[in-house]
Amino acid sequence: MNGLTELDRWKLLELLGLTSFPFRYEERLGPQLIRSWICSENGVEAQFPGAPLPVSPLPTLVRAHTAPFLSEAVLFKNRSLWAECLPFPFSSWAESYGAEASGEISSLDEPWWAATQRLRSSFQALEEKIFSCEVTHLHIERPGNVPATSLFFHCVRRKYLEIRKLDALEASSVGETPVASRYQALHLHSPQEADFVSQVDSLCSAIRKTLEAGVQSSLHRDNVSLETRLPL
Amino acid sequence: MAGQKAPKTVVLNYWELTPANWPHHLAALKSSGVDEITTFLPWGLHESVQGIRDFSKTSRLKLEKFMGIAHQAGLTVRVHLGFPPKKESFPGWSLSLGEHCAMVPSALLRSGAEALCLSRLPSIHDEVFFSTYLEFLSEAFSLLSLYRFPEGPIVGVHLDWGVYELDLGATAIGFYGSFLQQRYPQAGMINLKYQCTFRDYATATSAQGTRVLLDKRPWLAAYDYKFCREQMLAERAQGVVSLGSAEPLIDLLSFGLVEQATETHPVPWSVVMEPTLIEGDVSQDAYPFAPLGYLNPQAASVFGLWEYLRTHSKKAGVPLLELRAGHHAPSKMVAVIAGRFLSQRLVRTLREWAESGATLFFPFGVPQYDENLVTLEWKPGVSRLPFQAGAKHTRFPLGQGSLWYPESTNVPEVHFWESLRTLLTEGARP
Repeated sequence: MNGLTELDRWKLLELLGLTSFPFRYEERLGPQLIRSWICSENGVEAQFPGAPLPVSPLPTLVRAHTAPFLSEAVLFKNRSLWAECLPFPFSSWAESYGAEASGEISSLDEPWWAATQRLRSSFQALEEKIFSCEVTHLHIERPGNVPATSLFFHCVRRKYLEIRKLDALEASSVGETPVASRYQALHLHSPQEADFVSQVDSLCSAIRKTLEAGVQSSLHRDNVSLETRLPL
Repeated sequence: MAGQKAPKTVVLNYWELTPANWPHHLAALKSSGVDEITTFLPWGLHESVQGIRDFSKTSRLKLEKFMGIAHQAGLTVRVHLGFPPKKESFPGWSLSLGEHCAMVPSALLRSGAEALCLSRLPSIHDEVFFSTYLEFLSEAFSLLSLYRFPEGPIVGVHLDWGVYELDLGATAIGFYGSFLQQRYPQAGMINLKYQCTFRDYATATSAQGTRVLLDKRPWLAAYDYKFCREQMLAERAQGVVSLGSAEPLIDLLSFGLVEQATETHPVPWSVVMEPTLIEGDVSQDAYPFAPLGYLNPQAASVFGLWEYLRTHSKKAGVPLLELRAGHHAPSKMVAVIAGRFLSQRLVRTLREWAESGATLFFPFGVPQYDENLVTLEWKPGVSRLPFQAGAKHTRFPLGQGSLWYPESTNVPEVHFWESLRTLLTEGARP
């Protein structure tokens, strides 16, 4: 059960410092443009259909459906950490290869695209770490005015049973009570850089540090297990 | 009954709560002024193993216990069944049942936006899938009938077709053609309306035929498709009603989408959108109309326009609503987003709005034809609306209100919202 709202996802994105660098998202059906969005810290802004595209320096992410049919996707699929926690279309960055792809994803902006893929790999490593324990608390903070957030993950057999945001009181008592047989608390210090590529690279090293520190913080408690929600 | 207050209702799914907390939750709701709860009875949880229906073994699924506690707390209950876009609506094993597939927008099961993709589900029109669901319904109805008001708390049982209301794969079902026949009693009439040369209903409803109809007359093809889909679901409802166990609940049974009551605040102007070439709820989440996945350029444009309007209306705090028959005008000044075609039912609604004093602005021109391709009469005897010489816009008085339309329907593309806002804000001033 993913308890993160659309607003939570956007807050998380802001906390990771990824909203400050706008990009254009397009969906095409063959040659026809069927969706054109500018994605920035103000959210997504759809363009008037058929309007001439303004010349802009923004990197463009294109999802291409094979004309004349829209692509098909599995309805009840397990999704990656990236897709579960980040809002669309930012979650599309992770879709270029792997089981989540629906339509072909590409970008002509090589350095920008390569940076998103590096970030995807770091998120995959973080996800592996989260899957290694039944319960994970992930605390994310960033310099500046963005309030810190704590996320709760309950996983069984590499599936998320529950993802939600912890309120301030819950977050403050993290680690005090044994909640699961395998439990870990992770801290991620999100960086603040001036350009997208530097931001991504700093974020990747912050995730690496988090993973290294997390090795010491995980606990194993016998005979303690979280109540499992239906269905398994 | 006049003067009677509508009950205060909340949605509460018993299976989402710890059963030990049911008495506490329900008592707390009652003391906070709630009279009625709406709860969803999920097939996916109650029959997680095919043929073994659990209404009393797993603590979260003890339906009778929950009904008893609700009744004791003095609450009435409306039970929802069916296929709302939730994972719990379908048992895992049911997803591989049957031969025929429904095609629904993938984003239905996600909160927020998604890529414009479609997903396959077993079709409600597949006999194997539907008969399996009927077996479940039959047992559920037998239980529910024991708890109907006043002996129990149940005052309504609603079957929500949910994802099947947006099924884009209906033309692949064999008997789709028989419903199209209700619209066009002879195959020749399809050819006449669409200007094509189909031999029979089977060719007109094939995958290729569906594309041809959509390309020839996109709006009419979408109207016909939705008409047939609605009729097909009505036929499924008959199948449910004819269940023996449904008899004791027959007066409590209802079908279809539940309209969410929304609080309305007076606004100077609003936007309503004609929904034929779009799927879903215009005011919440809409999807492109793409039967069998085929997206016609005109349907793609209408979807793009909806996304554009939603972005701007959200920012500006202007309501963007679906044009629905029988609804009241949302404001005195209404922008009506519609093309050249409009169904007679919606024309009647718009005419009532204008006659009761609303000004209706048509930025893309006033619709001219109905679903039978007959020229619309906005006023008896007036089939062509006049244009005021030399003016950019013309106001045509209708009752206490008016129809307002531009001389040219070539709308400015880049600043469409800004020009709409300027025009309607000024127009709304007394």
